[in-house]
Amino acid sequence: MTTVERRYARLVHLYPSRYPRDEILDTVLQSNARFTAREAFGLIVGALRARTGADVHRGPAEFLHSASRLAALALLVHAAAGDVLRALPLDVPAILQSPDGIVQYATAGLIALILHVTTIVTLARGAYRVSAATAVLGMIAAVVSASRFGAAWVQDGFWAAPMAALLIGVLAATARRERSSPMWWLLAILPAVVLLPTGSGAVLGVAWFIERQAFLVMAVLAIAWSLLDARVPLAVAALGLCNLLTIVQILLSAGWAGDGAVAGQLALAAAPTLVLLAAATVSRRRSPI
Amino acid sequence: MRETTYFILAALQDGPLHGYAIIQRASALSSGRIQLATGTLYTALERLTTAGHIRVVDEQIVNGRARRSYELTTEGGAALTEHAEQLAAAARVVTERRVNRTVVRPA
Repeated sequence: MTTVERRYARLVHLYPSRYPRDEILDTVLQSNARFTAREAFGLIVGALRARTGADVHRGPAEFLHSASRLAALALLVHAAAGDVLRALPLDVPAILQSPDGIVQYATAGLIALILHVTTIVTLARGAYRVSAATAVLGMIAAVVSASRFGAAWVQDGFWAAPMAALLIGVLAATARRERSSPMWWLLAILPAVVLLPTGSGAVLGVAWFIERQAFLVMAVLAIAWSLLDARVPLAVAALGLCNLLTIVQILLSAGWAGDGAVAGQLALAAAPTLVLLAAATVSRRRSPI
Repeated sequence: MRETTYFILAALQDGPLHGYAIIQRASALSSGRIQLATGTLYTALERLTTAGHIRVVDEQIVNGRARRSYELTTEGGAALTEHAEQLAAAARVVTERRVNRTVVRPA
């Protein structure tokens, strides 16, 4: 095996085994006597598309369905991460030391967490109606749990559960079903506690207030990923929209809606979400196949 | 239908071809505009096979590696023809107007 052959073979092995790896290697060697960056990039992108499901042909309706499903799963991870903070065991001292019996809020948080995890599993597995029911119940439990700190709708990450329930309700009303493994979504819940806007810094310590920076990094990665799959920036935009709704609620409740400087801050907060939506649109339109 | 997909299907009009031959034929038919990278070709072949527009018709072992040939299915041929007619109709919007402008002159 020559050096060129070996280098291309390594890239071709990135493809899943259901792809004709031997044949792809044969074709790339017929097309190129030398190792070129263009072919290498094409093979890496092709392999990533194959592994993430972006290689499947989707018409406009199928694309919208699949993107909504991904967005709902991302929102559910966000909602479940918020539940983790409000449930046991992170808040045990607060629960035990509180004079006014707040154990019901933590219990509601735990119930919300269980329901949101169930929703992730059922949605990923294609049981949309069950997931719609558990999403609504999870949303109610999350609202009860969050009301411990006052108005639930102005708290970080509050809108994740209602938005997910709404999206799943719409998906359940359609005839299409998409199935995948829920494993990665479930594994994402714990990192999401500090990476998504959940207000984790208030519970874990100020040093954990990294959610804004983390969202910007996530937005940049999603924009880069739009080269492969236009659904991913849409899913991250849903998370951004969720955060934006919280900011708008805070502004409205504080009566700052007419303030010019506040409007500027709001526009700045909305910018990553708008850029993500634009990246998804461009990606969808420029797809070569 | 994207232009790349159109030329891949068009490359298979005259009979089955293997991967490298499809790349060459698509390039020739598009006067060199479509230069398919191998990764792009196989993503497209996978999509078109799943959609039922093409199918694997033959497999040979060359230099110890499998080399499969793909052919257009009836559905693929119909989709190609339909898209070609749409392109032709779109082209007529411009070309026929040009003809009319040269033919119809004021007396």
